[in-house]
Amino acid sequence: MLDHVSISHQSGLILWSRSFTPTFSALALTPSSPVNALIKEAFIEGKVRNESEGIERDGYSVRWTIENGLGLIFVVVFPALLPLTYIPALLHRVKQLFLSLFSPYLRSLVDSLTAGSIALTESSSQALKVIREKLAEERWEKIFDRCLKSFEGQDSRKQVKSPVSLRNQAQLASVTSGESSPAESDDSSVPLSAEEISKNVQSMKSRIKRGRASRGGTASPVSSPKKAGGSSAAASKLMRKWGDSPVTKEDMAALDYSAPAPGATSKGEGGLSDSMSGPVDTEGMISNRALGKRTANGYEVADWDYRGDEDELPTEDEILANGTSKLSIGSSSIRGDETKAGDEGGGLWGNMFARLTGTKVLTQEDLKPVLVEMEKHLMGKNVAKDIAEKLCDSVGSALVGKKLSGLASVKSEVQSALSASLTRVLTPKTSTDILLEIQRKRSPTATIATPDAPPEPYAMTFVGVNGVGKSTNLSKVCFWLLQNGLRVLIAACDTFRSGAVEQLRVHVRNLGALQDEMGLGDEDGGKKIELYERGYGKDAAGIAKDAIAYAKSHRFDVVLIDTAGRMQDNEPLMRALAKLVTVNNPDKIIFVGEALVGNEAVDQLTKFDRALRDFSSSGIGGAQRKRGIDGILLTKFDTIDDKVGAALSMTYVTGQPILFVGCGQTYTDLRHLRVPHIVNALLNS
Amino acid sequence: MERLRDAARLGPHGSIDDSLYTRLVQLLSKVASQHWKAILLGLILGYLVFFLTQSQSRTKSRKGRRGTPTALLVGPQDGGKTSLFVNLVQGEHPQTHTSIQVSDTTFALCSSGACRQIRLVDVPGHPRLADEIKKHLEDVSAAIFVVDIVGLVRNSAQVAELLPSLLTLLASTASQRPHGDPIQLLILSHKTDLLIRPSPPAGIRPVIPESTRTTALERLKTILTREMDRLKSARGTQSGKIEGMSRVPSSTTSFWSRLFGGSNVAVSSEGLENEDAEGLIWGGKGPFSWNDVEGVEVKWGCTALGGAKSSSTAAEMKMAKEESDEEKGPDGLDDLRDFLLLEM
Repeated sequence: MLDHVSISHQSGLILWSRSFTPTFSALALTPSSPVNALIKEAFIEGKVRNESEGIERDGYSVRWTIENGLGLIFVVVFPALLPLTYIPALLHRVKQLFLSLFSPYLRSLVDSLTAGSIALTESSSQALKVIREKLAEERWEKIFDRCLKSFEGQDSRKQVKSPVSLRNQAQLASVTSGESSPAESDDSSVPLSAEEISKNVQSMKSRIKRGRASRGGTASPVSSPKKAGGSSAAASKLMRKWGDSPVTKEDMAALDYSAPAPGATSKGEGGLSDSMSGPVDTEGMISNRALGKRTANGYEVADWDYRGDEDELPTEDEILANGTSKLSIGSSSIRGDETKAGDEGGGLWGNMFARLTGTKVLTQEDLKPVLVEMEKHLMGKNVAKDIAEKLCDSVGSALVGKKLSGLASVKSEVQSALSASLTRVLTPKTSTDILLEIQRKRSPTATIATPDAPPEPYAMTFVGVNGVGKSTNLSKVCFWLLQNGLRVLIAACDTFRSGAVEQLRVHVRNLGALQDEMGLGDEDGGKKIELYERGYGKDAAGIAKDAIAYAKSHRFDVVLIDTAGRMQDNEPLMRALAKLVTVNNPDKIIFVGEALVGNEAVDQLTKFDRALRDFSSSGIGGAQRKRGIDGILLTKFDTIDDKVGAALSMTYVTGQPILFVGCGQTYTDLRHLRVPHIVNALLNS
Repeated sequence: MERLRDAARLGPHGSIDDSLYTRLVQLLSKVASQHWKAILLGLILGYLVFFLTQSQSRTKSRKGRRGTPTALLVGPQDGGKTSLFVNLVQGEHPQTHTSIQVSDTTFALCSSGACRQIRLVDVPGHPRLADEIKKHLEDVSAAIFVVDIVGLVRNSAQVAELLPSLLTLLASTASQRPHGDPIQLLILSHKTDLLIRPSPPAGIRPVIPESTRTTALERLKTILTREMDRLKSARGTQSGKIEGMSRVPSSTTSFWSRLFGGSNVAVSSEGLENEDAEGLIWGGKGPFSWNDVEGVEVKWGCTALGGAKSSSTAAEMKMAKEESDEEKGPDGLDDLRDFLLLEM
């Protein structure tokens, strides 16, 4: 059912891992493995809110949990189609077991990785080897197997039983009072969300099919699918059945939850003998330990094997108990007597002393007020609400369990963590050097067939909503390109707004005059800057295509394509934009957004990005042509004082860098983003 | 009061014995007999604070002490930095995934009898974590730029784009040093074993044959030099540059924010400095040359580790043990070891 499990440290070391399929074990070694995707998305880019929502990648679901004290990451990968409900519990259990078994050795490994200038001793330089030996010594593989099996067993039993117990509840209202003892059945019957029900229905159906194949339909196929319809219909149907036959042995067997998987053999046997009459329960037992029983000749042999195994391995409870006692001894010996006295003395003083001695461990309760405050602060800086929440949540989940260092307050700890995560979000992960890209594209790649063919021009498209300053900032970018000695063609593809073409014409005239004045214009014939326009009302994609062809034949270096502003919700216009992108395939699609927007920034960018991706990928072989936004130009930055939240919102949503910042009225008012300044402005009160 | 302060200053060097304490009390009672309790409390608090700061500064000075040479493992992600780190420090070869944290340790590197204490820092390669390197520049004496030689063919542009900023950082660090020792940069062609034909058996640390070595080094040099040439012609010119944005003026500069925002300001000004210093690495006119980079000596090498072992069973462990016993012979890491032992 699972594909991959791994336990690793944040430094990148995988301490233990196992792939359950050969294809995945090959995939796990490549840089594009789902585990790597999780690390990048959840931990480095902070895109995932908390542990309960994992990520989906290439048809795999990835779920994780972390241990911040030691910096360990536990990851489980399974097929995205399987609704495995036991994964969080499994992760938690594995974490507990692993920590209680190996935590002293892990501690020495972590120390050796963060030793800094303190020289390693012989023992700590062996830490990894020791862990590997200990893993083998304690038979971690087997412990994990057992843990996984017990969860899988529970899950399948749960899925078999829950419909049955439903029926029984409806049927035997009087008996339900006696049912209270097993905790699992309560679990399965209480959360009757739609999801749960549909899951149950699915498992039920599959089980019925299998049952029919093997047993020729002895299991009542009529009543079970009825369960899918809803509990009321089921109840009425079953009421009649109850009238037919009073409490049967089958019902008793179904109600008998007292046969747990590990430990109790006598009950297990009892369950088996009972299950001869109850087909559903047999199914559950088989899926539990199918192989062991089928191969053995009798029940006894299988049981013996099973029990022998149990005797060898310490039970999970033992492991956990050992672990906690070890931990408590360790911590008390570190802290010394006074601390212990302080702990006993009372919460407040103990807390304070722990804080002074640097052993205070951050909890969710400590962090919550500070995080709420930070969230409000960020929103005050015009960061979109959704994003402020997500960022603070991810910072919170990265801090829980960490030790508070020295005299640092919780607030300063949160602040420094938040500053690090803001820096991470804002730092571009792709190249922002447009000049280099232009040069790379223009560098002569003369093929043998056409040695004289002019190189393709570099095309940049400016998109955005109305009135954010697309044309104005296009002309600023144009000025910068001209300064770098490139020949620029501006394509007027805003064929809608009156005056749009004239506006560009004025810019071109101004820039041309500037070039002449600075002595850079017209060295080798052709002009440095030209406008390509075909008037109003024409198809923008066609004009852009012609412009690029014109630029190619006249050896322009760069084509800047100005588009009409459009609302992100206007589907026909977004389709037209996607068509322009698909037809011309520009090298950069730059989203122009104003720094004034708050929550709207998220909506604008997500919808532009999604519309471009969706519409440009329709048609044949669309998946390769899928294009989103490549970069952001943030305008009107001089008008917002220190409310720079839009910069954060926009980079967070797309993950694309802010290429330029427009901050004034003249052609020279174009700047590069400086991440530390933005972070500073965001955190300053 | 002057004497009192002296006494307090002397405190941390000696131990507070009874006589000092009684002397303090006597002095205090002389100076202010009425409020002596408050003053005593204040003094003790002051002493505590003094002691704490003293101890903190002491640890800091220990941290900054010169002596153990520091080497940074840097480079693009998925290059194999963490694997190299673990191999050198722990002598193990586990699987790795993308690093989130810097690993930083000091260990004894031994090769053919000679041993040396070396501090090795593994900096994550993810572009969003690249800033971590700035925190470790202070007493760096060498950097190792780890490149996946097979992946380089595809990603040459991305890999090369990391080099100017790295070189700038190193060059400006070197120029700030008083004695002006150059910083060593080893550009390492890692995963060279993938170029060996026929491919060596898995699980054993391969030895790089001479022919593969020359191929790898040649490929690494030509590709990176070509890319740096391009970068130089695109960036080396001074005209037509866009400036970085200025500091965002904050509406309210309260006392507290100025007090606690101090560290952030320092970081940003540092960033600006480095941006301006890019001229240090491009040299004069003409094509790019590695010798032009001021304050940085560039060297080349290649290493190989072989494939990572997956999780360990008992049998595999035994094999690994045997392997580590016969580790003495030449293997794929010799270039790196020699660099760390001899050149740094």
